[in-house]
Amino acid sequence: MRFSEFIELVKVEYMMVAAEILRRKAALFTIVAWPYVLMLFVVIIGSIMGGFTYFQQNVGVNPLLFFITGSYLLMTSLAFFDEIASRFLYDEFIGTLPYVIISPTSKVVLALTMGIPRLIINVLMGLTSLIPIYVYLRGPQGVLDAFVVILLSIFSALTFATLAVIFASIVLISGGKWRAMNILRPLMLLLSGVMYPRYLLPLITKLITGFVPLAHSVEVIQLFIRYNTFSEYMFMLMGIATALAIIYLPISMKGLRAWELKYIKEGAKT
Amino acid sequence: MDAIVVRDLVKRYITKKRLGLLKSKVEVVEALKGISFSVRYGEVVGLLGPNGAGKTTTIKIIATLLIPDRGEVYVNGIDALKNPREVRRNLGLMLTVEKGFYGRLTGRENLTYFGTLYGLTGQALKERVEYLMKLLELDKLGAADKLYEEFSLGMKARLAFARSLLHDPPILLLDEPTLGLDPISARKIREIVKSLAHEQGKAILYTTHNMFEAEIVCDRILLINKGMIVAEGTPEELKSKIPKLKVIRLLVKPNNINYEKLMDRELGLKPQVRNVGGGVELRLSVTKPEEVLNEVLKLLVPKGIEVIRLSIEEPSLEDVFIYFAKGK
Repeated sequence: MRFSEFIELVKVEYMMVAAEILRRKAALFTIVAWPYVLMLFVVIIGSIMGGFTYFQQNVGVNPLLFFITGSYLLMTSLAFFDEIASRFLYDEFIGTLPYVIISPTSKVVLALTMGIPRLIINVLMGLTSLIPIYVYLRGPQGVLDAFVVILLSIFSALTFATLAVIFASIVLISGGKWRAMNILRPLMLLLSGVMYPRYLLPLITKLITGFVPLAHSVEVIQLFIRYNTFSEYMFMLMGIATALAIIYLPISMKGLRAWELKYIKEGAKT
Repeated sequence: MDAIVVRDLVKRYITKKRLGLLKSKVEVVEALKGISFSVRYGEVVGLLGPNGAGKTTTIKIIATLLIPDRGEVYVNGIDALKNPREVRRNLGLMLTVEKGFYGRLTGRENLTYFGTLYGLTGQALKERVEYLMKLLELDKLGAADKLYEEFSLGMKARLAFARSLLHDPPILLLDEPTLGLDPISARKIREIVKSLAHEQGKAILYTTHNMFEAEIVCDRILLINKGMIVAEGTPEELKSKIPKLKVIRLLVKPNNINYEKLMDRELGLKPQVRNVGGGVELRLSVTKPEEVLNEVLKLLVPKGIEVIRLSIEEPSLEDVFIYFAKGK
């Protein structure tokens, strides 16, 4: 596939996501409001257990900042997984999947382009969800911090993309499909460390998170919002995340091919 | 070279039949029992059969959307089972008319999306989309800038047909393309199908269970029933394969008699019965029309049944199909 064809594919995928969001006001509202809703939910539940000061003592970051960043990161990083798994399931439901399958476009390329428009939209939403709270808590410096977090979240989403394709393939291959998605999503939430710092996790879970690129990039972001600077350790984490993403690429390709083969063996549903 | 060659195609489905809350029984359904046929360039071949005959299964296998248990499929000389990706470039597919597009996109956007998936880009894509919208009169119907979820069935069918033509494939697989359509949309699609085959030389495999449509659209017909091709030929050839068959058509009154039951019980005949204006029409496909007619009149007249009209006709394609479907 030529690069120009790839760009065209991203454009039409963007047209699809934009139509889905902009032509449905409820979807647009949900995207803008979701990080705030999730942040408030976690903060309220957290306040019942402990307090703002207790959290800040243990984690070293203001809980509002921690959870708005976490919610935003979750939304951005899961863009690929959500888009790939749910889009193919949706395609099957509305009857477009046979036409997608028989198109000459590589399904792996298609899967990877599917996530990009959602990522772009989510990144733009960062302007509404991150900047106000960062400015409120950190003053003008907050604008710069928020932009760094947005850039890091793009890195986090891109390095998570290949593992997301593997997870999406599992969802698509499994008989349960939507049920499998409902199991994998919270699991990713836990393993990413987005809502709960990695170093506070039990040893086994902590070891597993070592294989999740998202967990490393999330740790980088958490360290950044805590210390406001980049260290060698943070660059090492970014390197590990990148390496893992590359390692997962061939597996993700095999995963999608396995799903395609299963789909054809069972017979395309119309 | 033939456009499509199918040899000894077999497909079995394993299904689970529920017998209760926990019990189930595995059943093997033989959808295709070794069918073979070919389609040449420049012809429309009709795959004609009732629901569940194996038409869609055949289309899906040729379209590389289903793997057969046995057999060979060649599309444009390419082995469909070994090189599905190559085969897909040569095919245009239309599976169902009522769905298969994105509801939040307009007609034009949907075609643009699928065109990009088929490798068209830039000006070429734009021109192709506009050409197809004009060809299928989607622009006239206002479907180009209307959301797909607001489409009528006729618009949906035209858009589905347009999609199958996006990459200008030499071979088209159309699965019941006019099912449920209004007469104008159905006629438009039939006209284009014929011109694509006869003027542009495309090979078209066209499934339908509408005899009238098969007769007017198809150059050749394959009668398929229970996974087997029971007869093959042009509509005229098929009719001539049952030379002794004649059709007795009777218009009788009153309407409130169960003629099917009466004739089956008294004469062992199974007429096709339908209510028409002015009475009930009975159609009987028989080899000795005079004898049967005599018996039928002897049965009906003494019961006070009025015979308004009576004729003995040559069989239609529908009669041919019923004849072959019943195993001659």
